[in-house]
Amino acid sequence: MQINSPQFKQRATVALQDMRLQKALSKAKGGFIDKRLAAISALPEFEALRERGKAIKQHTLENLDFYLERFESKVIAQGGKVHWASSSEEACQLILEISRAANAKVITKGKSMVGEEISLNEALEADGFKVVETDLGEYIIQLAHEPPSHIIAPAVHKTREQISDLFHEHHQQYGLTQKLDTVPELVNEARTVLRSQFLSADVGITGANFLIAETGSTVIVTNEGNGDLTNTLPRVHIVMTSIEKVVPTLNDATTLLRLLGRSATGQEMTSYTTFTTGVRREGELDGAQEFHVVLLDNGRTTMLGDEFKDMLRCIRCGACMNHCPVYGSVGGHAYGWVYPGPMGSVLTPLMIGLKAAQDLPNASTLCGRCEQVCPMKIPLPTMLRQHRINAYEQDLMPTRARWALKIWAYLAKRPALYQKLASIKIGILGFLGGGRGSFRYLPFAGAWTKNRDFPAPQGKTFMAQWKARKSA
Amino acid sequence: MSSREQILGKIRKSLGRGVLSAEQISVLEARLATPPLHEQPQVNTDLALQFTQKLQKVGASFSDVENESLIPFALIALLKEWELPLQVVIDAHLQALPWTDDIQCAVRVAQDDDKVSVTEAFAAVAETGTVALLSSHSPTTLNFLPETHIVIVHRAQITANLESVWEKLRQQNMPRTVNLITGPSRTADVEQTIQLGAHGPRRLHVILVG
Ligand code: SF4
Repeated sequence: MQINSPQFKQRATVALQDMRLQKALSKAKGGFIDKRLAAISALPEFEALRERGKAIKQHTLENLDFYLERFESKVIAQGGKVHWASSSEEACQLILEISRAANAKVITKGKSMVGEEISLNEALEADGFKVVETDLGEYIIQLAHEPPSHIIAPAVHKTREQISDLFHEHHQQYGLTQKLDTVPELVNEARTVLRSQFLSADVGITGANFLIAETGSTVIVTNEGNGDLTNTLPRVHIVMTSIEKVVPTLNDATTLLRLLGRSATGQEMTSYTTFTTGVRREGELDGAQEFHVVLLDNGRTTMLGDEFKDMLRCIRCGACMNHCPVYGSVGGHAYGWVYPGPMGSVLTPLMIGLKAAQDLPNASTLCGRCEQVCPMKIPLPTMLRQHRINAYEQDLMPTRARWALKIWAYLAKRPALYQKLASIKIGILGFLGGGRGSFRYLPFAGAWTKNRDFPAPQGKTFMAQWKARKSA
Repeated sequence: MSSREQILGKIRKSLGRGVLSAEQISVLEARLATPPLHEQPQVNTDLALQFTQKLQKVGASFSDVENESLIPFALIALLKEWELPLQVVIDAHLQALPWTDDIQCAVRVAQDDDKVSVTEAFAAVAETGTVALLSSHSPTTLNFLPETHIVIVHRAQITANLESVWEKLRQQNMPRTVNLITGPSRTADVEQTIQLGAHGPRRLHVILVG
């Protein structure tokens, strides 16, 4: 996928003024937040599950080599193949070879963020394959030639009117000439169009939410059923996934499933949770006859040894972006690459380089909500801060910002002075930054303040509240 | 060096260690051999009650029959109620039921224009209103292509949590596909409005036996 992260400021400015985008974002946001809250309030065990989920992932990461090798041997024992890819290019190459060997013409795809990460569609299309995204959201953005703007709701930035226009333009070739208006009509038409694609596909590519070492299974979590038609109907099934997705056992995956659905869409269980293990067995009448799993590294093994290790616990639920005030204002496209929101601001610099993505760690108010809602308790703000420190140390920052940071660092080491200043006036930091301090330095500051008011500090400062709570 | 070795080597390097010792491996093997049971949500002691409540919550429907031999009649009544043709595709295990000439049963994989499929569950989960179906028992396409999917669940098959399904499954070879199905197909991709019947069944109905 094209990298647009260096243009974050410009893209954020445009996004803030895009009325249709703002309408779509405001529609989506409340829904995600309310549904998650209702689901976790109904589960008293949720906190305990979070701790357990974190422990499971930490245990797996500490023994990642063991579990990956075990997963591989189980896949092979069930008639499948495992392919290891250090880089995106290598992963694409592997999938091209499998698809060529299968003599494929039409390839259906279930939603895969790793597929986006490696720009799989571009690679397949350049090689002459017809690639059809089958998740409704992915299908919509494929028609629009746009990248996803959310990791679980890829077309969340599109309004119904825009989708109606897209279908009207692209479905005429199937004799579907009427312009549709309502949600049921639009969903039905997509169902009809995609049905024929499912049935004619030679290769189906899905992602995986989890890999199970105990059984060699790959797991997908969906609601539409497109992933299941993708992995069942074609002769060849390819799973494009990454190394940190492995967990030891079916029981471990079950704990993570309880966290994932609730954090993502507020569902206790999505409509379809599917465990796929190897190839069609003797005597069976359907199911893929070839099963390939492509395991991608693309920087993950490096993260395992540095200060971003915790990020490998991420189960891609999207809660951090749903609760992020910056994401909620500018949408996913402003971030300029595959992964948006707080998790994207951590991952993107690690995958495309801090230089190209240096605005992203600053695209955060460090309000801390992402960490609060993250089911895997990933310290996202700490890691964003770490990126800022790294950018500073690598000399990637403009001089003015370096000065503001130096002053901030001086104050941060002197909590008494910091609190005193902060409680006098929050704007003092700006003053210390030479009238153009930290807050105004936000890379999209111009657009930000043009379009909304900086929230007035309410009541006590965070430190004061925290102290009060601690003593309570 | 192959990418496989490269990746495994980098993992070990990042973890600051070499290959795991035999002792460490045996600890991990033991964890795999006896999977730990983690915290589970509380489930009503009346499993069938919670299962059916959850089914309704996720937009599925259900009905009861006293014993297996009544399934064909219950099915005919349902199809008439839904104004559907009396034609179904069933999995081979259901062939032995006392079918009558009133209804046409095909035993095969699903085709695009099939309206109704009937398959037998491996287990059901009260915690979430989920049915578990195995490819070793019925063709997977039956679970996804028809617009109406009817699942036969015996009361005794209802377990409290998913972990019990895994325990049962560990007695056999892991099938190619385990489908955990919780309600009909749905999407919220157009303006976050939930719409049933995205690509899979628009209707999921459970017939509880016993
Ligand atoms: S970082 Fe946490 S909240 Fe964000 S997608 Fe990953 S698991 Fe979910």
